[in-house]
Amino acid sequence: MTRVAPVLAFVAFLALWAALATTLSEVLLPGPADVARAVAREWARLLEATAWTAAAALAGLGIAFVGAMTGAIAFQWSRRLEAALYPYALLLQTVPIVAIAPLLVVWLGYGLPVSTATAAIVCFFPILTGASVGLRACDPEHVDLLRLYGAGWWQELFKLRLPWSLPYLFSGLRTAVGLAVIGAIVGEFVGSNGQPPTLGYLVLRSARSADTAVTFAAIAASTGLALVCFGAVRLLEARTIGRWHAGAAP
Amino acid sequence: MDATVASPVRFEGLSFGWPGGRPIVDGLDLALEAGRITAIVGPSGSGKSTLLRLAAGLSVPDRGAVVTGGDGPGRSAFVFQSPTLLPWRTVRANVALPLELRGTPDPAAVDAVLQRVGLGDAGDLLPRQLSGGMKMRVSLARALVTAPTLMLLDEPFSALDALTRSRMHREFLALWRSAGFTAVMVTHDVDEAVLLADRVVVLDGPPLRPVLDLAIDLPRPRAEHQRHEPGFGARVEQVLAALREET
Repeated sequence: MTRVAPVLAFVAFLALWAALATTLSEVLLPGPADVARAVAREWARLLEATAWTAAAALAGLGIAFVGAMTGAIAFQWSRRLEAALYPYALLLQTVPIVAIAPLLVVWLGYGLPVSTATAAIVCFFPILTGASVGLRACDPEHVDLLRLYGAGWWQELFKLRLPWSLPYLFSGLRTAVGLAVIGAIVGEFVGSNGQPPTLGYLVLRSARSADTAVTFAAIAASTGLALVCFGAVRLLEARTIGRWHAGAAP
Repeated sequence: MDATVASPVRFEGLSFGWPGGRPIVDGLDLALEAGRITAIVGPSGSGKSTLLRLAAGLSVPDRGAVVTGGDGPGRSAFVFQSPTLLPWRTVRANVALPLELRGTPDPAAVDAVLQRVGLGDAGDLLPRQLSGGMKMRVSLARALVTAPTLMLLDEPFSALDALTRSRMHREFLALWRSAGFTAVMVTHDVDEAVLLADRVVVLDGPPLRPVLDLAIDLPRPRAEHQRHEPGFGARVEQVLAALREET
């Protein structure tokens, strides 16, 4: 029943949507069949736009991962450095990404660099937090054990703290990967001129030309992209730590 | 693995305290014989575990010294109250960790010590697949793989159920007999102390001070059934009386 329930809920949602669509014009609310027709008609453009948005989101996630891991390891190395820099990392999280995006266009010009940068900015903090907490989460007895056998700082990091931090890091990555798609699309709203085509640009252009069915199709593609990315992180989590960490099983 | 050379331990005028707090150890002098098992018994919070940390070099004394007869700090091993296994490493990789950290990997020594603790077939298992007793055996194997001259044990069997603890007592004594290390074991279990040790030192504190130093001259090998013999009971009562006086 637990597996059937979401399917039933989705069918009910489609039925409700279709019923509501019959009472409104197609421009305001296209029905599921209109959206399906738009997908069939525009699939090549949708696929290309999804690929470019995915590229920006994943590049942003990668940049954020490298930056956040470097930051978390540096914070582990020096509490003073953490005290000095963590408030600014928090500040980055609190500044609305929509407000930064126009500035990024000024700095980086139109195109993928903007959406990559916005994706990286929104991903950075959850990864930094997950990694920082994880690197400090091991028991003091484990640290004593390694020090007893002469482990230095790097050995402690690689043999104990980094593996121990993986469940926390994956928790941060699960949050970050969804945000990466959102961040990329927000960047595309402001910084995409259609070269290359992206989902954000497609949403804006189709909405402006009242082609609402395509807008819905692009939104569905964005959601699908986020779900695929989330699933990939869950799969990676299960493959890397699933054997020893009970919470990692999908 | 060959039998090791046992190391005597001397605490000489040892003093230690956390900054801003009262001293936990203040000028303690205590000598422990090589090749013997000494049980340290005392009330909770008296500083017994701190003494073990000082002996292991995990804490640095404010004054005085811990003198061991081994060839440096690398020859002591520590068995914690919890098995402290790394969950992502197999049994074999956990046991190999101390050698790996020292840059002297020795797979044959790891397999030999696993055989010795009865885990020869469990090398590829992960800690989550082990029972509490098996985890403690891995912890002992990890300590033994470095061929320590001094084994420091901080309530190693306290988290085990009665049956497993009894089995672990037998196995620990067998390992001690064959390896010949000096053992210093902190325990709250007076029966365990009298059953395993050659000497029971009751410490009160902080600051730590000996209130009873009792030689346990019961014949070896010892077994659980000896708990019911009058000699055993008399020594247990002596230790309990010392603890009662201090609390």
